[in-house]
Amino acid sequence: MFKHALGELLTVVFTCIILFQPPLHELFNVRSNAVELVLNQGIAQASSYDNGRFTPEIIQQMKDHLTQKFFVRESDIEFTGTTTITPRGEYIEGRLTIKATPFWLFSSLFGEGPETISRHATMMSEYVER
Amino acid sequence: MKYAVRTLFVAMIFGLLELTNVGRYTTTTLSNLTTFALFRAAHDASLQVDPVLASEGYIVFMPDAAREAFMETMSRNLGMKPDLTPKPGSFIEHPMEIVYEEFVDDSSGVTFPFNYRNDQYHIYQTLEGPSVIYAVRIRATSKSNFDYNGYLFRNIVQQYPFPG
Repeated sequence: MFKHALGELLTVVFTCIILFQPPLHELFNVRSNAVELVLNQGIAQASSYDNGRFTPEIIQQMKDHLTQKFFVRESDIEFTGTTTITPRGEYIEGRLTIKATPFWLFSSLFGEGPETISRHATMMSEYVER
Repeated sequence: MKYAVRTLFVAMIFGLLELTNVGRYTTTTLSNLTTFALFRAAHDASLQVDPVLASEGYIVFMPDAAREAFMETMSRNLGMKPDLTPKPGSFIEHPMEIVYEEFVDDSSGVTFPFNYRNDQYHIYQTLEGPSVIYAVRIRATSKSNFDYNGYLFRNIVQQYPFPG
Protein backbone atom coordinates (compact mmCIF):
# COMPACT_ATOMS: atom_id res chain seq x y z
CA MET A 1 0.00 0.00 0.00
CA PHE A 2 2.77 2.43 1.03
CA LYS A 3 4.89 1.54 -2.01
CA HIS A 4 1.96 2.09 -4.32
CA ALA A 5 1.14 5.44 -2.69
CA LEU A 6 4.77 6.58 -2.98
CA GLY A 7 4.82 5.66 -6.66
CA GLU A 8 1.61 7.56 -7.32
CA LEU A 9 2.83 10.59 -5.41
CA LEU A 10 6.12 10.73 -7.26
CA THR A 11 4.31 10.31 -10.57
CA VAL A 12 2.04 13.28 -9.90
CA VAL A 13 4.90 15.53 -8.79
CA PHE A 14 7.23 14.58 -11.64
CA THR A 15 4.44 14.78 -14.24
CA CYS A 16 3.70 18.34 -13.12
CA ILE A 17 7.39 19.25 -13.29
CA ILE A 18 7.93 17.62 -16.68
CA LEU A 19 4.84 19.31 -18.15
CA PHE A 20 5.10 22.80 -16.70
CA GLN A 21 8.71 23.50 -15.73
CA PRO A 22 10.26 23.78 -19.26
CA PRO A 23 7.71 26.40 -20.46
CA LEU A 24 8.47 28.51 -17.37
CA HIS A 25 12.20 28.51 -18.15
CA GLU A 26 11.49 29.15 -21.83
CA LEU A 27 9.25 32.10 -20.99
CA PHE A 28 11.88 33.57 -18.68
CA ASN A 29 14.53 33.21 -21.37
CA VAL A 30 12.34 34.72 -24.09
CA ARG A 31 11.50 37.70 -21.89
CA SER A 32 15.16 38.23 -21.00
CA ASN A 33 16.03 38.28 -24.68
CA ALA A 34 13.10 40.59 -25.38
CA VAL A 35 14.33 43.13 -22.82
CA GLU A 36 17.83 43.01 -24.30
CA LEU A 37 16.53 43.43 -27.84
CA VAL A 38 14.09 46.24 -27.07
CA LEU A 39 16.67 48.16 -25.03
CA ASN A 40 19.19 47.81 -27.85
CA GLN A 41 16.71 49.26 -30.36
CA GLY A 42 15.88 52.03 -27.91
CA ILE A 43 19.45 53.08 -27.23
CA ALA A 44 20.33 52.96 -30.93
CA GLN A 45 17.53 55.46 -31.56
CA ALA A 46 18.40 57.52 -28.50
CA SER A 47 22.02 57.95 -29.55
CA SER A 48 21.18 59.17 -33.06
CA TYR A 49 22.20 62.69 -34.07
CA ASP A 50 18.69 64.17 -33.79
CA ASN A 51 17.87 62.74 -30.33
CA GLY A 52 20.95 62.50 -28.09
CA ARG A 53 18.82 61.17 -25.20
CA PHE A 54 15.92 58.86 -24.43
CA THR A 55 12.99 60.98 -25.54
CA PRO A 56 9.50 60.27 -24.08
CA GLU A 57 8.54 58.86 -27.52
CA ILE A 58 11.44 56.36 -27.49
CA ILE A 59 10.61 55.26 -23.94
CA GLN A 60 6.93 54.82 -24.85
CA GLN A 61 7.90 52.92 -28.01
CA MET A 62 9.99 50.48 -25.95
CA LYS A 63 7.10 49.97 -23.54
CA ASP A 64 4.63 49.47 -26.40
CA HIS A 65 6.93 46.93 -28.00
CA LEU A 66 7.14 44.92 -24.78
CA THR A 67 3.40 45.11 -24.08
CA GLN A 68 2.19 44.39 -27.60
CA LYS A 69 4.72 41.82 -28.81
CA PHE A 70 5.74 40.12 -25.57
CA PHE A 71 2.58 40.59 -23.45
CA VAL A 72 4.32 42.28 -20.53
CA ARG A 73 2.00 44.48 -18.45
CA GLU A 74 2.89 48.16 -18.77
CA SER A 75 2.78 48.54 -14.98
CA ASP A 76 5.52 45.87 -14.73
CA ILE A 77 7.93 47.84 -16.92
CA GLU A 78 10.35 50.33 -15.45
CA PHE A 79 12.86 52.47 -17.32
CA THR A 80 15.61 54.70 -16.01
CA GLY A 81 18.11 56.42 -18.24
CA THR A 82 19.57 59.59 -19.72
CA THR A 83 16.74 61.96 -20.55
CA THR A 84 18.75 65.16 -20.91
CA ILE A 85 20.41 66.03 -24.20
CA THR A 86 23.95 64.68 -24.26
CA PRO A 87 26.63 66.13 -26.56
CA ARG A 88 28.29 64.04 -29.26
CA GLY A 89 30.91 61.64 -27.86
CA GLU A 90 29.51 61.49 -24.33
CA TYR A 91 27.81 58.46 -22.87
CA ILE A 92 24.08 58.00 -22.61
CA GLU A 93 22.74 55.04 -20.71
CA GLY A 94 19.54 53.23 -19.99
CA ARG A 95 18.26 50.46 -17.75
CA LEU A 96 15.11 48.55 -18.62
CA THR A 97 13.54 46.38 -15.93
CA ILE A 98 10.48 44.15 -16.08
CA LYS A 99 8.89 41.91 -13.50
CA ALA A 100 10.13 38.35 -13.92
CA THR A 101 7.79 35.44 -14.57
CA PRO A 102 7.93 32.56 -12.04
CA PHE A 103 11.18 30.67 -12.54
CA TRP A 104 10.35 27.47 -10.63
CA LEU A 105 7.07 25.58 -10.53
CA PHE A 106 7.61 24.55 -6.89
CA SER A 107 9.43 27.55 -5.49
CA SER A 108 9.30 26.06 -1.98
CA LEU A 109 11.40 23.15 -3.27
CA PHE A 110 13.84 24.95 -5.56
CA GLY A 111 13.86 28.45 -4.08
CA GLU A 112 12.61 31.73 -5.44
CA GLY A 113 13.91 32.79 -8.83
CA PRO A 114 14.91 36.36 -9.72
CA GLU A 115 12.22 38.96 -9.03
CA THR A 116 13.05 41.16 -11.99
CA ILE A 117 14.71 40.94 -15.39
CA SER A 118 16.96 43.93 -15.83
CA ARG A 119 19.31 45.00 -18.61
CA HIS A 120 21.68 47.95 -18.80
CA ALA A 121 23.11 49.55 -21.94
CA THR A 122 25.41 52.47 -22.56
CA MET A 123 26.58 54.09 -25.77
CA MET A 124 27.97 57.42 -26.98
CA SER A 125 25.65 60.08 -28.27
CA GLU A 126 25.83 61.32 -31.88
CA TYR A 127 23.90 64.47 -31.08
CA VAL A 128 24.98 67.67 -32.81
CA GLU A 129 23.47 71.01 -31.93
CA ARG A 130 22.12 72.86 -34.95
CA MET B 1 8.55 -0.13 -6.09
CA LYS B 2 9.08 -0.89 -9.76
CA TYR B 3 6.73 1.98 -10.52
CA ALA B 4 8.72 4.40 -8.37
CA VAL B 5 12.02 3.34 -9.94
CA ARG B 6 10.57 3.85 -13.42
CA THR B 7 9.37 7.32 -12.44
CA LEU B 8 12.79 8.20 -11.05
CA PHE B 9 14.39 7.01 -14.28
CA VAL B 10 12.09 9.25 -16.34
CA ALA B 11 12.91 12.12 -13.97
CA MET B 12 16.61 11.56 -14.54
CA ILE B 13 16.19 11.69 -18.32
CA PHE B 14 14.16 14.87 -17.89
CA GLY B 15 16.91 16.35 -15.72
CA LEU B 16 19.49 15.69 -18.42
CA LEU B 17 17.25 17.32 -21.04
CA GLU B 18 16.84 20.34 -18.80
CA LEU B 19 20.61 20.59 -18.44
CA THR B 20 20.93 20.89 -22.22
CA ASN B 21 18.24 23.59 -22.10
CA VAL B 22 20.20 25.53 -19.48
CA GLY B 23 23.20 25.36 -21.82
CA ARG B 24 21.09 26.64 -24.69
CA TYR B 25 19.76 29.56 -22.64
CA THR B 26 23.23 30.45 -21.42
CA THR B 27 24.72 30.44 -24.90
CA THR B 28 21.80 32.45 -26.33
CA THR B 29 22.14 35.06 -23.60
CA LEU B 30 25.89 35.34 -24.09
CA SER B 31 25.44 35.53 -27.86
CA ASN B 32 22.91 38.37 -27.51
CA LEU B 33 25.04 40.24 -24.99
CA THR B 34 28.09 39.99 -27.25
CA THR B 35 26.23 40.99 -30.41
CA PHE B 36 24.63 44.08 -28.90
CA ALA B 37 27.71 45.14 -26.93
CA LEU B 38 29.80 44.82 -30.10
CA PHE B 39 27.36 47.05 -31.98
CA ARG B 40 27.58 49.75 -29.30
CA ALA B 41 31.36 49.47 -28.94
CA ALA B 42 31.96 49.69 -32.70
CA HIS B 43 29.58 52.64 -32.89
CA ASP B 44 31.60 54.50 -30.27
CA ALA B 45 34.88 53.59 -31.95
CA SER B 46 33.54 55.01 -35.22
CA LEU B 47 32.99 58.39 -33.56
CA GLN B 48 36.72 58.79 -32.85
CA VAL B 49 37.83 60.80 -35.88
CA ASP B 50 40.57 63.39 -36.23
CA PRO B 51 38.76 66.72 -35.58
CA VAL B 52 41.24 68.82 -37.59
CA LEU B 53 40.95 66.66 -40.71
CA ALA B 54 37.17 66.39 -40.18
CA SER B 55 36.90 70.18 -40.30
CA GLU B 56 38.58 70.02 -43.72
CA GLY B 57 36.08 67.41 -44.90
CA TYR B 58 38.22 64.29 -44.45
CA ILE B 59 37.10 61.52 -42.15
CA VAL B 60 40.18 59.84 -40.69
CA PHE B 61 39.88 57.59 -37.64
CA MET B 62 42.26 57.85 -34.70
CA PRO B 63 43.16 54.18 -34.05
CA ASP B 64 44.29 54.56 -30.43
CA ALA B 65 41.26 56.61 -29.38
CA ALA B 66 38.98 54.23 -31.30
CA ARG B 67 40.44 51.17 -29.58
CA GLU B 68 40.13 52.90 -26.21
CA ALA B 69 36.48 53.86 -26.82
CA PHE B 70 35.74 50.36 -28.11
CA MET B 71 37.14 48.70 -24.98
CA GLU B 72 35.53 51.23 -22.65
CA THR B 73 32.05 50.74 -24.13
CA MET B 74 32.44 46.98 -24.37
CA SER B 75 33.50 46.69 -20.73
CA ARG B 76 30.70 48.99 -19.56
CA ASN B 77 28.06 47.02 -21.45
CA LEU B 78 29.27 43.57 -20.49
CA GLY B 79 30.14 44.45 -16.89
CA MET B 80 33.77 43.44 -17.41
CA LYS B 81 37.07 44.94 -16.28
CA PRO B 82 38.57 47.66 -18.54
CA ASP B 83 40.94 45.10 -20.13
CA LEU B 84 37.89 42.96 -21.08
CA THR B 85 38.52 40.23 -18.56
CA PRO B 86 35.56 39.07 -16.47
CA LYS B 87 34.87 40.34 -12.98
CA PRO B 88 34.70 37.66 -10.27
CA GLY B 89 31.23 36.13 -9.93
CA SER B 90 29.86 37.63 -13.15
CA PHE B 91 27.82 35.74 -15.76
CA ILE B 92 30.64 36.01 -18.30
CA GLU B 93 33.48 33.70 -17.29
CA HIS B 94 36.02 34.20 -20.07
CA PRO B 95 37.82 37.25 -21.51
CA MET B 96 36.64 38.95 -24.65
CA GLU B 97 39.33 39.02 -27.34
CA ILE B 98 39.53 41.53 -30.16
CA VAL B 99 40.83 39.39 -33.01
CA TYR B 100 40.60 41.88 -35.86
CA GLU B 101 40.45 45.64 -36.23
CA GLU B 102 40.56 47.69 -39.39
CA PHE B 103 39.79 51.25 -40.37
CA VAL B 104 38.72 52.16 -43.88
CA ASP B 105 38.63 55.95 -44.20
CA ASP B 106 39.70 58.84 -46.39
CA SER B 107 43.37 58.06 -45.70
CA SER B 108 43.05 54.48 -47.01
CA GLY B 109 43.22 55.49 -50.67
CA VAL B 110 39.84 54.03 -51.60
CA THR B 111 36.74 55.63 -53.04
CA PHE B 112 33.26 55.05 -51.66
CA PRO B 113 31.15 53.02 -52.22
CA PHE B 114 33.85 50.43 -51.66
CA ASN B 115 33.44 46.66 -51.74
CA TYR B 116 35.11 45.52 -48.54
CA ARG B 117 36.22 41.93 -48.53
CA ASN B 118 37.85 39.93 -45.75
CA ASP B 119 38.22 36.24 -46.51
CA GLN B 120 39.77 35.37 -43.17
CA TYR B 121 36.75 36.44 -41.13
CA HIS B 122 34.19 36.16 -43.94
CA ILE B 123 33.21 39.82 -43.91
CA TYR B 124 31.86 41.03 -47.23
CA GLN B 125 30.13 44.39 -47.35
CA THR B 126 29.78 47.43 -49.52
CA LEU B 127 30.93 50.43 -47.51
CA GLU B 128 29.02 53.62 -48.28
CA GLY B 129 31.47 55.74 -46.27
CA PRO B 130 34.37 55.60 -43.80
CA SER B 131 33.93 52.59 -41.54
CA VAL B 132 35.49 50.62 -38.71
CA ILE B 133 35.61 46.84 -38.86
CA TYR B 134 35.92 44.69 -35.75
CA ALA B 135 35.90 40.95 -35.10
CA VAL B 136 35.79 39.59 -31.56
CA ARG B 137 35.58 36.20 -29.98
CA ILE B 138 34.65 34.89 -26.55
CA ARG B 139 34.59 31.37 -25.16
CA ALA B 140 31.06 30.22 -24.36
CA THR B 141 30.05 29.90 -20.71
CA SER B 142 29.70 26.19 -20.20
CA LYS B 143 27.70 24.97 -17.22
CA SER B 144 27.84 21.23 -17.94
CA ASN B 145 29.38 18.69 -20.29
CA PHE B 146 26.36 19.02 -22.58
CA ASP B 147 27.04 22.68 -23.33
CA TYR B 148 28.89 24.19 -26.24
CA ASN B 149 32.29 25.22 -24.90
CA GLY B 150 33.93 26.61 -28.03
CA TYR B 151 34.32 30.20 -29.17
CA LEU B 152 31.56 32.54 -30.28
CA PHE B 153 32.78 34.77 -33.11
CA ARG B 154 31.09 38.06 -33.95
CA ASN B 155 32.05 40.75 -36.42
CA ILE B 156 30.71 44.14 -37.36
CA VAL B 157 31.16 46.84 -39.95
CA GLN B 158 30.17 50.20 -38.53
CA GLN B 159 30.02 53.25 -40.73
CA TYR B 160 30.98 56.68 -39.41
CA PRO B 161 27.73 58.41 -38.37
CA PHE B 162 27.72 61.71 -40.26
CA PRO B 163 26.01 64.47 -38.29
CA GLY B 164 22.83 65.26 -40.21
